[in-house]
Amino acid sequence: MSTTDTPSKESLIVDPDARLMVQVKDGDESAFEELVAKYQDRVLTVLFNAIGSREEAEDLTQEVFLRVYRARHGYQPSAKFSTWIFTITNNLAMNARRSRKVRRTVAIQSRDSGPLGARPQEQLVAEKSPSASGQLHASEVAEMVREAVGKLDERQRMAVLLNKFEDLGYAEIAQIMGTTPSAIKSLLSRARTNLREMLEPYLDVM
Amino acid sequence: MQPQHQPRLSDDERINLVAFLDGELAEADAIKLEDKVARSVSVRREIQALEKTWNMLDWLPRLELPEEFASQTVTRIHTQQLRAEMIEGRLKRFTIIAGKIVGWAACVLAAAGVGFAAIRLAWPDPTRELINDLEIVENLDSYRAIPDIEFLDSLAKLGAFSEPAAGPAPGAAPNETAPDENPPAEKPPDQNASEPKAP
Repeated sequence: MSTTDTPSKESLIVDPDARLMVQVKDGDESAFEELVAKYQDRVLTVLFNAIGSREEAEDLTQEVFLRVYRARHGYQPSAKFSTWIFTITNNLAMNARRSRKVRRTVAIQSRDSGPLGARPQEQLVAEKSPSASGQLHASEVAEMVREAVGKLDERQRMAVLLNKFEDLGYAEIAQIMGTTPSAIKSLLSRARTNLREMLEPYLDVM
Repeated sequence: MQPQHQPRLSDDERINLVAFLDGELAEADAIKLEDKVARSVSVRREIQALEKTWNMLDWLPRLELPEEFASQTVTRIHTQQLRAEMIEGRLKRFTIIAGKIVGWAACVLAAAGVGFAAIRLAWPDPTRELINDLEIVENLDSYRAIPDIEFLDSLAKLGAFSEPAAGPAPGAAPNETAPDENPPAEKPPDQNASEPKAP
C-alpha cells in the first residue's frame, strides 16, 4: 500500500451504518432509504414492546427516522449509528409513555406486597392455567411474557429490550439511556429478578 | 455423609449474577462468583431460572413493517420539506411585500415632509407676520396721528424717546404713568394737528 494514499474521512469510519449516515449527510437519499430498511423492524420491535400499541409504535418509528433525517447535517460519526438511533428511540418511547400517562397492559390490582403487587406470578398462574394437555399454547406463553415485561418499570423494560433484541452491552445501553454502566448493571439485575419471579411458575409447564 | 457447605450470595453478588451471565462482570469478580456457583446448588438453580426466564423473552413479538415503509418515510420527508419550503416562500413573499409597503410609506412621508418644509419656506405664514407686526398694528392709530418726521425729530429733541431711568426730559409734561405705558408720542402737543395726514 502506498504511503501517499490519504484515506477519505468516510473510509475511516468503521461502522457501516455510520458510513451510510455520512452519505445521507452529503445528500444521498438512497443511503437514507437503506438505513430505514435496515432499522425499521428493529426500531418498531423495541417501540412496540416498550409501549404496547402497534399503531403508536409505527407512528413513532416513522418519527424516529424523520428525526434522524432532520438531524443529518449535525451528525458526527463519533459513536455507533445504532447507539444514536436507539437514543432517539428511547427518548421518543419515554415521551410517548409520559404523554399518555403510562397505560399498563394489565393493571396491578393490589399493592400490598412490594413493587410487583400481590405475588404476580401466582396471579398469572391463576389467570392462565395450563391447558388440559399440561402445556401452554404458544400464544398464551407469548402473552404472559408480554404481560411480565409490561409490568416492569419503564427504564428496566427499555434496558431489557435493548439487551435482548439488540444484544447491546451495558456501556452502550448506558449511553443510550443517559446513565452509567454500573447503573445499567443494577437495573438489569432488578429487571431480570422481577421477570424470574413473574415467569418462574411457567418454566416447568412449558 | 456430611452435607456440603452451601455458600450464600451477598446482595452485591446477587446483582453481579446477571452481569456474570451477560459476560459483563470484571474477571476477578467473575472468578469469585464462579467458585460460589460451583459450590452451591441453590446458586446454580438461581442461574438456571434466570437463564430460562431470559430465554422466555424470545416469545416477545418481533414486528415487521412492509417493504414500502422506507419509501413512504422518504415521501413523507419530501412532503414535509415541500410544506416547509412553501411556508418559507410565503413568509419571504410577505416580507418583501411588507418591506415594499413600508418603503413606499416612508417615501410618501418623506415627500410630504419635504413638501411641507418647502411650502413653509416659500410662503411665509401670514399669521406669523401678523404676530411679528402686532406691536405696530396695536399702535397704528397713534402712529397715524403723527403728521410728519419733523414732528418726531422735535419730540426726540425734547427727550421724549430717552430711557425712563434718565428721568423726565426738561420741559416735558409731568406724567404719572410709566413712559412705556403712555408714550409722549401718543399726545401730540398740537391739538390742531389731530387730523392725521397720510404717511
